Amino acid sequence: MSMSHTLTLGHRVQRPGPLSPFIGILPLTALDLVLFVLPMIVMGLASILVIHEFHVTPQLTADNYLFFLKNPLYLNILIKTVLLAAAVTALCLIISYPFAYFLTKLPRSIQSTMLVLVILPFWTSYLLRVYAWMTILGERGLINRALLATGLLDEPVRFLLYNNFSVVIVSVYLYIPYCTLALYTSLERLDTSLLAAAMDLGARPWRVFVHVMVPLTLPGIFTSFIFVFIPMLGEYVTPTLVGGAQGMLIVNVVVSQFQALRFGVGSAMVFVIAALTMCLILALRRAARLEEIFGGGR
Amino acid sequence: MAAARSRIAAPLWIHGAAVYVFLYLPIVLLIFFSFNKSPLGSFPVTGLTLDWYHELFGEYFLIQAFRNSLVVAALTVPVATTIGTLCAFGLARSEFPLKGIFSGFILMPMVVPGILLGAALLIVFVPVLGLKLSIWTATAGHVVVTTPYAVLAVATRLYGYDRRLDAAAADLGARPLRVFLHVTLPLVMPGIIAAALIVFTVSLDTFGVTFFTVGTQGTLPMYIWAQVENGVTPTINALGTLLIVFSIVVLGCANLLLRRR
Repeated sequence: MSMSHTLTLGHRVQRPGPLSPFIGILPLTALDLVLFVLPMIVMGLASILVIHEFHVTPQLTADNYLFFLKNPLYLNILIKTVLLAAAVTALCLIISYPFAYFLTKLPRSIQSTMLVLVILPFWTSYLLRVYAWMTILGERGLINRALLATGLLDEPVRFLLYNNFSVVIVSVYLYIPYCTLALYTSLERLDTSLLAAAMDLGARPWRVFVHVMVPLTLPGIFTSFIFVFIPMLGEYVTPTLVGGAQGMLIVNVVVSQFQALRFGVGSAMVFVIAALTMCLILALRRAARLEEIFGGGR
Repeated sequence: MAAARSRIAAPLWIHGAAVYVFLYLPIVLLIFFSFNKSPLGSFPVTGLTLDWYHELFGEYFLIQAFRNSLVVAALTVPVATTIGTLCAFGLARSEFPLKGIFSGFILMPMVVPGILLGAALLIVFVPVLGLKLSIWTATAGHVVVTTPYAVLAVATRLYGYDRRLDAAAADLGARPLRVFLHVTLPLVMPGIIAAALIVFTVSLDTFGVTFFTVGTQGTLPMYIWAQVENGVTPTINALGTLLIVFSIVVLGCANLLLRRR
């Protein structure tokens, strides 16, 4: 926002110079450099230097990366994590898109309340919301109870919990609010007369969706991707609580390395994940426009 | 267009309702089982009780963890709110090169998995700096993770701010500092209070970054983690119910403060 057109009374509100609001960004910049960027650099160094019992020696090594990349078990878990994250992102988009559209169609008076209802409880008790799924998917859980009561089953099924399936279900549940919020923001700005115009010109609903709606809401779709796919690569609580031995994700392996004080190997693993993530962000940054959240940057 | 808005197709209604059920089912069940007599913390439903709530207050480790959480939050809230507010002012009221990239950068700690950030901080704190993990190292992690929320909350309020009010005060002869303290700050205050409330709830619930930075003085999520790894227990259901109610009340207040007139 430029200063000139907001000032109608003739005076400058803030003088440029040492008191400029620009200096406000400096404390957070310093904080992020020391406690966010620096730790990442140190982690990078830890992955390529030889470390003996907490003592760092200035000797370069590729062993940590080779240990990780040559181990088929770890590589398989990494590939599975990426595939599972992609599946969760796709499911979130499929469920959230019509849901976000539904929200934009609600009467104005209740729209913001319904939106808050989507987000509000999901800012809190992250651990307990994952944990609560045990009472739904478990052997004595709600689903088994219901199936037994209706006589569809004679004994409880076990395949609902402690596998990849339960990890996907619970992750989709965790990330739907973020995805919905991002899509809602895009759909809210969508000029619906464009949809009507496409219909008038004879396009079938499916074609209108693919050729008009999706391209116009692409920023929301990319933002959802960033807010679902990236955190999924680092999801630890869900696989640990509901994944069991089969549902293990790459972060479970990373955490066990750190807990065994094998900082070098653990760091190398984090850097392989981070490299993957950075490639994706750079590819999507233009389209996603994270800065739009601030409404500025025009 | 007005006609289109009022008509929602039936499948859309059904889907919308189903998503709400999906989102609230685990929470409703957690609350439900916290009042259930069965010591399994799950089915079968055997009767109504408040025993699990009574048991909470006798849990020594829970009370310790709660105390640790309050200390970390009490240290995190002023620091994160102040730094976040300053940054929101900087972003809303000045133009500088690469502003877009900078905005994306400061939001990164919201997206980067907390547990990996915690692992990176652990390497800095222990082998490099030789510190002992404590409430203080955990607080450092919490400040990094929660400050972006404070920036967003205050920025939301600032973008709805009518700058002609500042100009009016300046026209009437107020110096910049007076304008800031007597006009700008009171008007932005609801955003700052909302930021503090959000930082408080996020800090209370932060698991990822705490995991590797807190050492032996575990916070509430660390206590819950130790409990839930062993499966479902009724006292955890009761604790969860209290935490959910508490967070909904606090965040509800924050939301009211951020609502534009």
